[in-house]
Amino acid sequence: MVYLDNAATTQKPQAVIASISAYYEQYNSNVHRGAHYLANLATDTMEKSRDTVQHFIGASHREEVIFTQGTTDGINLVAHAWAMTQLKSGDEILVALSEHHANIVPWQQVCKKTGAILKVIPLNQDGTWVSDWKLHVNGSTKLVSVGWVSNATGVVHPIQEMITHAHSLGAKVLIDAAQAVTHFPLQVAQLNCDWLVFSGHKLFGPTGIGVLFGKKEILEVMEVYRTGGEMIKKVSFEGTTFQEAPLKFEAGTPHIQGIIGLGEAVRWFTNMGWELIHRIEQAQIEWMKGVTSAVREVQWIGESERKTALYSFWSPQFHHADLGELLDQQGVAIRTGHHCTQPLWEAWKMSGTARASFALYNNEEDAVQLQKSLVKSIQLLIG
Amino acid sequence: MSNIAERQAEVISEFQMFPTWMEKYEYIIELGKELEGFPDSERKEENIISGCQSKVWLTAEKRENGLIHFQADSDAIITKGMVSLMLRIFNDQPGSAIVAADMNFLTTIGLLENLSQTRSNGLAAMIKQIKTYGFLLQ
Repeated sequence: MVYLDNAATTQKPQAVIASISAYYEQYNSNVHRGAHYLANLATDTMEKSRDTVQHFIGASHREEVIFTQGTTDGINLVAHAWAMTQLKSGDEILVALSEHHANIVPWQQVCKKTGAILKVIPLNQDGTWVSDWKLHVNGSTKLVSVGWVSNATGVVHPIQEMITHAHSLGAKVLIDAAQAVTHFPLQVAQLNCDWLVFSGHKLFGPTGIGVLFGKKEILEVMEVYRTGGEMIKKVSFEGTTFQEAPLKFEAGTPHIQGIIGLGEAVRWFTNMGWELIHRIEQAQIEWMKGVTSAVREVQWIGESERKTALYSFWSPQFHHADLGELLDQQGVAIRTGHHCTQPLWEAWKMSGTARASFALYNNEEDAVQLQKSLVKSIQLLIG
Repeated sequence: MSNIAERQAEVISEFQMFPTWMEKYEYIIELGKELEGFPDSERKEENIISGCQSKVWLTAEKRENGLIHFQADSDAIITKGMVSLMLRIFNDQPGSAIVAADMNFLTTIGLLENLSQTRSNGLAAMIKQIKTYGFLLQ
């Protein structure tokens, strides 16, 4: 079978699966405060993942790496622990039209609670931000929260320029890197973003684990979000004091095997090297140029020059669900629907798309199979 | 006029002519294209069957002869074909027969094995709605 649903989740390398099994088979134990060998081993292995991630994302301090349940959880954490208490009526939060629901709805909740206003950068037809996007940041903008790469179109957005521009006007910037993490070195210190979030399972790691990077000085002023467990320093009925970041934001027993598996996934991915990863993706883009120019019965969305190997397509002549079903019958796994970006499709007057997304294990044969089964499906539907 | 069991037997023998998934789908798509026109005025929220990935509209009325007449439509052609197949089985039958109908023929025609979980759920929701109308209008 051909797996082209990598923007939803990637397959897991043997090394990642083995690291999770090894934890349960050999040193299963709860972390922190353990007075015994196994607990120390589990704590050390888990905390080593934090170092691995710190190095991977280019953060200046290991305390800036917070383990979350995933991208959505990371955004919610910032919404609750920062935005809910720091924003006030009339402040503006800026997102783009192509954001994932997870980067819209938490801010809507913040706006409801604080009276802040959610503003939206419109898009060009090719999926890029409108050329005057800078004008959407102003003195009232307190937060810009934007996706680096769109999960609906694969278009890459100019986040470095956005970070610099937003900072010049006093706004903080959160980068949703869920779809970028396998395509670009994140280098958060260099980017100078205030927060950055991604999920482990889109990076060849397990589900249920993700990362929130936050600048140290900002993490210090953020409120606690969930409470209980290792995040507490001292509890009394007169008042409770909390640990510093990152523990401050990691309440309860952590997702130990998820963190261990994520660390392994990052090591596996890093070992590939960016040069090879980029070479593979460039090749995939070349193969897909052949496919997109051969199959003209569908409209390919987001044909910008700056994009990843993610292909969204549709036709007013048939429903994307039909296309997905027929491709599935031919052993090609893609995703169909609104991809959690309903406002985008509403603006573009579409009900959704079919989406094929590549990861570094997809070869030329996969692109060939996609083309063959697409042609056959279209023939069945409109032939 | 044939009853539900006879119509199911008919469908089973038709599907026996299509051994491959391709032919089955081709036939279903064909059925979808043949489905009678659905009035635009009925394309409203309350007629939508929830639980389907694509939109399915279904209406039912009891006619003077005491039989139930369904009309349905979908924005996806494969779903529309499935809808068409269901209406062919259930249309213009007494409510009591619709409620009592055995749906095993779906397994026999080898359609369920090809269907995704989402699609099976959608189909189950459709059958449930048809049977609910059968019960309410008997």
